[in-house]
Amino acid sequence: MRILEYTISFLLIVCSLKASAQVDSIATDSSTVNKFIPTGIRVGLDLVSLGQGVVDKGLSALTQADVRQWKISADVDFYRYFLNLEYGIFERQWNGPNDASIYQNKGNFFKVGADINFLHRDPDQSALFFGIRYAQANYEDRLIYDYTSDFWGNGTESLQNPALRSSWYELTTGLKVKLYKFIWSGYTARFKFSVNDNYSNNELAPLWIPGYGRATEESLWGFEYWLIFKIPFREYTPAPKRKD
Amino acid sequence: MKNTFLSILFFIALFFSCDEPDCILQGGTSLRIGFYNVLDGSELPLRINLLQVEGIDEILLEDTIDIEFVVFPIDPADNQITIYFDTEFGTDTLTVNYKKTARLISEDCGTEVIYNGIEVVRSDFDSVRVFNASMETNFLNPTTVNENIRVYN
Repeated sequence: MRILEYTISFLLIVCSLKASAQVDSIATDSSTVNKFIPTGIRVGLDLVSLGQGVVDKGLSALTQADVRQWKISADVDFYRYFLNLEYGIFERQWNGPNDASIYQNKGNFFKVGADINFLHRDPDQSALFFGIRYAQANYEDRLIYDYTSDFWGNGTESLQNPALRSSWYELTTGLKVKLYKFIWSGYTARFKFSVNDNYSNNELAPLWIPGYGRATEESLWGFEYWLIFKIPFREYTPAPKRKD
Repeated sequence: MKNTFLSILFFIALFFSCDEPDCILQGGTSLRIGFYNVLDGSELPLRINLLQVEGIDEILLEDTIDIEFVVFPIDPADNQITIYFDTEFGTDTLTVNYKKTARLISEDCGTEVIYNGIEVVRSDFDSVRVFNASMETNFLNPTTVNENIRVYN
């Protein structure tokens, strides 16, 4: 599984670089004045995180608290660079076999980082990007479980971590494509690593880190499919094409 | 552009999966104490006149000979066990503290609680040593209780 993750990472990076090379070969760099002034802010809603809850629990996931998660993102362009900020909330309950144990996890997370766009001369402002993120999650969790003992009798125990914080880093790549006027769609694939998981230093070992995933994994893949809306600041003027 | 978008999306969707962790539960709830000779460290089976655990009314062992080790069920809701020994060497009390680490492995697998951090806080024996500070069971032989404490007389 780990080899597959690294292979996918490598292929996506190669694909990104290849696309960049193709674009650079047909266009020229421009010293356009004010090219670093942002043209607008793009705000996205992740459809995958919403969809995952629905797949697991049905449409009730959108309203009930046993599984609820959503992510939003915002990016601002500075010529061929994007400043990215992502935020999400997560709340879910897991029930063990026969409801003998219940695990609840609730928290939020943010991710901040920069992307470089290899399609910065595209007239539609489509983006093929590669970037990095610093991510941090603040969350709490609780485990309630039943135990049985021939000597001590049966009972229920409850353990909780009232305030946990985890951080990690991500390598990201993806596409954003203009659909109609101010509407874009796109995806982000991300490789998450170097996580501080709080796993071995608490009486209750967390199962999940909001925004990261299963706490026992040293690295993970993530994927979002965004529906994006752009709020323009100024009119976008594509850079002129390179003269060969 | 759209073809690139769709092909990469398909590529990721094809390989994007999450794997569930293995369902191996190793959380034991038994504390094993072995008896040894203080002079040479060899096993020393002894006669137990009476064996009781604080909090349990019933007598666990009475007038039994050639006991090499005893196994105690620990209280899942507590972090301490106190054992009263009446043996051929006299009356002794042993108090042991322990910690627990709990986790939900998965919805299918359930919760695992591992008791570890075994520490002797009171002993009247000549010598006591924590041999294995965890009550984790053996992956290959889950019914075997590993020895946790060695008592030397």
